[in-house]
Amino acid sequence: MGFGPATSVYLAKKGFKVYGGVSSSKEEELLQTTAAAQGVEVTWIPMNLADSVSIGLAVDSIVANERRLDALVNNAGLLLRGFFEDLDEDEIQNLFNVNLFATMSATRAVLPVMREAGKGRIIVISSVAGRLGTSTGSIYSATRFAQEGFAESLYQEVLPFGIEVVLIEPGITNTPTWTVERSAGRRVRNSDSPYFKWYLESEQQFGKSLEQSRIKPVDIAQVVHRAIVARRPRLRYVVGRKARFALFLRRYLPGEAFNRIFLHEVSRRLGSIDSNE
Amino acid sequence: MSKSVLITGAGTGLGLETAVFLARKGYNVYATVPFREQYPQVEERAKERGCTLRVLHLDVTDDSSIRKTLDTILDQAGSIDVVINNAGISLRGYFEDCLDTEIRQVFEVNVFGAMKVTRRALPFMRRAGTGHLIYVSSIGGLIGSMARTAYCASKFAIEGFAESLSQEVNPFGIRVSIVEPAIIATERWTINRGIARNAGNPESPYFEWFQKEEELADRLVRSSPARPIHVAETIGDLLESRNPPLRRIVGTRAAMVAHLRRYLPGEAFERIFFSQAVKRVTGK
Repeated sequence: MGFGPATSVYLAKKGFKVYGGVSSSKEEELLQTTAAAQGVEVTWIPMNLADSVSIGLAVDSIVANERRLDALVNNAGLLLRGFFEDLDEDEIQNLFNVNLFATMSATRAVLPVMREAGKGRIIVISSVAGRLGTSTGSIYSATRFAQEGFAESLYQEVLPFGIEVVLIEPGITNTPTWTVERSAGRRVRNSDSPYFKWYLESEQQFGKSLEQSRIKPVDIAQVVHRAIVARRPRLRYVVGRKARFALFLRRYLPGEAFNRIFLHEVSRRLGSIDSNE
Repeated sequence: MSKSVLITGAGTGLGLETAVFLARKGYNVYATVPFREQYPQVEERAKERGCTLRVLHLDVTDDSSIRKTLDTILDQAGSIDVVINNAGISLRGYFEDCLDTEIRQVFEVNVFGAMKVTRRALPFMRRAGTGHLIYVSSIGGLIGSMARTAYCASKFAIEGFAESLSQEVNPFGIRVSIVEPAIIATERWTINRGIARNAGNPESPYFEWFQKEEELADRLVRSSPARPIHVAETIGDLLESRNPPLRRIVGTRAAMVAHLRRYLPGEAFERIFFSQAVKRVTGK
């Protein structure tokens, strides 16, 4: 989601030996330039996120080199925006591969060495969308919610080995890699879609939210660092005041008040824009 | 004219109970099953309860199967008013003992299957300007459990999906509801509970804990008063409700635990509940 270089570099500056998984030469370049600009070194390692074998091999090579792995940061993630009916199955499958199954593969690869060491931190970078589902985010939320369920269950499985699982939930962050164009489903701007006008409105909203976001990648990096070095880390860290506030309201407003207000608000907004039907 | 209801995974357990319950209430029920061998058991249960329903084949992992079945229902009933996405499988075992293929299969049925059915049903409901989509999640879609990473991940996924979807389709007059049953004893609990192949391997570092976890799960299920009929009744209530809530938990104890989780401040719940769970299983 664009936090990779910032987080890698931040951890390297704090004295960690960082291996950054990259899936393209462009990513590798970005990582190296960011690191060089900050005067640190990050070792890049190739990794095809859609291929669990590739992920396993990458992790194995790190372990072979270092004989230890103190923390895994599951940071890889893609955004996919669009009304559900406008999203294609291959886009959905791809999102699950990158946002969820890649996390599982990397985790599976690191667990043996962490168990052996009797300690380790598995950081799972999810999203506020992993706690709250919204219109045009159905698949994205499905993948992020899934990461939450996975991490929460895993937490209880590996705690006795001294391994702690931590979830990090950023709100909307303005990163250079995540533009409005890059995150839209391929069919979402099809004017034949019954959701078309609503989609355009939502895209505008999204652009605005991106612009107005006060969260920067380094904020996530800081929280990741905290999660790794804290003696007793929380299970969850929410990053971003708006995100924290929304989750707080959702949690403590009684019953389904939050959802109803939200739904009403969304319906009102969309209702004032006629659908295509 | 009575509303037409499509239920997936209606061959056993909660699906079968719900199909029969709704048929008795006068709904025009299409109970669909993934295996044709299940037809007789559905028909028999319907006969026992003195109701009529139609049994069809539907494999939620197969898009052509979904389209075919929906076409059949539309031909016969003229509409698809209610879709109950109940088909689901479990996978029991510590994460490292679960194969990637086993985990993906859970998602294939529980998540992608439900999405495929939803995708095919939505156009009809949109054009009709009305409809109700129900997703059978689980308490495991709200709270994670050891030896259930894939299952919980899949149920959590449905929660996020359905919550978003409810906002997308509400303007079309389509309602979305999520039902979260407590762990309930059904036929599959005894016959085919979905244990991961490597979970029974004594070489596994988790072997003893898994045995203990299963023993505790058995005890919990046996002591729970929640029954399939309660799920059926809850679904019945949701269908009759003019302004149905997004979520309904079925099972008093489960509901209480979910409430505690929500209202206890900070991570108090997790610290207590999860560490207790770990302690019960590992003694640590």
